[in-house]
Amino acid sequence: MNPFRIMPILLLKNNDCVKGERFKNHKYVGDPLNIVKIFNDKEVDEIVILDTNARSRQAINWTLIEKIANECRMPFSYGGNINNIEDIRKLNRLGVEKIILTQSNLKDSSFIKNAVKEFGSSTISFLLNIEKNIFNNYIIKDNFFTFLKKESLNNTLNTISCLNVGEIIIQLVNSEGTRSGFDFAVLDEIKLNTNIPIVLTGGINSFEECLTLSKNPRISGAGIGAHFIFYGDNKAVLIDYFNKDQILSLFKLRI
Amino acid sequence: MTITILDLNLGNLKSIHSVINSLSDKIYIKISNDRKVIDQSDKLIISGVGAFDTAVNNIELMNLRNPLNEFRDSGKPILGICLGMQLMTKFSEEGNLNGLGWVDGNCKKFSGSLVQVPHMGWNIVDYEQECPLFLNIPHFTEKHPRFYFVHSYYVDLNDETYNIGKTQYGIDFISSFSKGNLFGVQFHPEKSLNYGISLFKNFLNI
Repeated sequence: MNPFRIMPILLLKNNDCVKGERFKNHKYVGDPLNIVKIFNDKEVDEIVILDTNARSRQAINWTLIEKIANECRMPFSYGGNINNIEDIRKLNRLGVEKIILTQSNLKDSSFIKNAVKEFGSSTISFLLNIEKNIFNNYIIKDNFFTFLKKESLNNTLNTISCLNVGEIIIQLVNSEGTRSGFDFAVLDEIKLNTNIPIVLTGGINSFEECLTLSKNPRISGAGIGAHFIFYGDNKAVLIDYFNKDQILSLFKLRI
Repeated sequence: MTITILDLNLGNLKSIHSVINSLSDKIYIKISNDRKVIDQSDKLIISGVGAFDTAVNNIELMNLRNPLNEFRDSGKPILGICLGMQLMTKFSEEGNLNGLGWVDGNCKKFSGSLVQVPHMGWNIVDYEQECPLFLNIPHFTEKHPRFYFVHSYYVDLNDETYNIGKTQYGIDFISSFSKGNLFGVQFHPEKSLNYGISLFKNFLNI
């Protein structure tokens, strides 16, 4: 099995790291460079940074991205307002290992195909936001959460995997930022035909949940946001990661 | 000391620059494909992520085959990272063009029926003590360091005189080799935290 990867997910707003719940009420949690330094020390597998400014279609914060890339000593994935090849080229040259495309890029599939062709599939990831509705069906949410797509989850996953991206990150909107626990029922819904790596994120609140996910050979990694940023019910900011023994046990499980 | 990171327009070289820069302010680091710059360097790093033939094409288009061969003949240390390591071989199953041919071997693809391809994530390297790249390297498990890998092809050598590092992914594949002035690593030390930093320190000291 592919090694299981545990990746902190950080949200950027302008020059700050922020965190909210279900993509709302974002509060300041720290300076991105300090947080990356802490994650370097904690020997984090890789880091995912998503720019909330993408929702308002603002330009990429090139200065900050360059500083983060200079500081980062593990793979760094970035997702933001990315819709042309030149931006991907620039991000890659700045030191961003993986570029994360999203739902809004699906309307131009030739852009995604060209990006995979030029940079290789392992450089292009895809982030898909899904939400469980009142009928317990998982539906696709677009980046701006302004309308819901009626496409089925597996149809969308198959569409994305046909574009040969390196991995698909599936984010559960209902539990994002809540630390309420991962919705394991979604695993029964994912029936992908291809072998594309899948990373899951949304509400993960313990090492044990990651251990459970890692036992599923179809799942390549877990994205964790709030659990690595907040401590306790009062949401004190405490940047953390799993300890070395925990990471070692995950490694031994998959070899 | 001057180190050149060869610019083949393939992948992220800045991270390598950042790590080496953080190790010493007495090193001149250049990202370049200029033959004069390469020739005058003390050490060379060839790194890349992408297709084998694209890299070979770029070497030909930039007229770099001769300068690179001359650098190899000079005996000055060369570190190949990921695709850079693969380029040192004769050819790859991935493409049709000839590699640099510096090492007697070729590149093969992981079998998709055995393992998920690409091999992506952290894995351990079972290295030989004699390889200078791994001197005093920190360990993740009791005996082995870990590094970040992302690749679909691996190097298969016909020469058993090389110092070999091995990693298990379905099969035991060669994750590092060294002989004389040639060093190759399949993983990305610039993305491998303190393990990679240690490896770069060792390369600077060779």
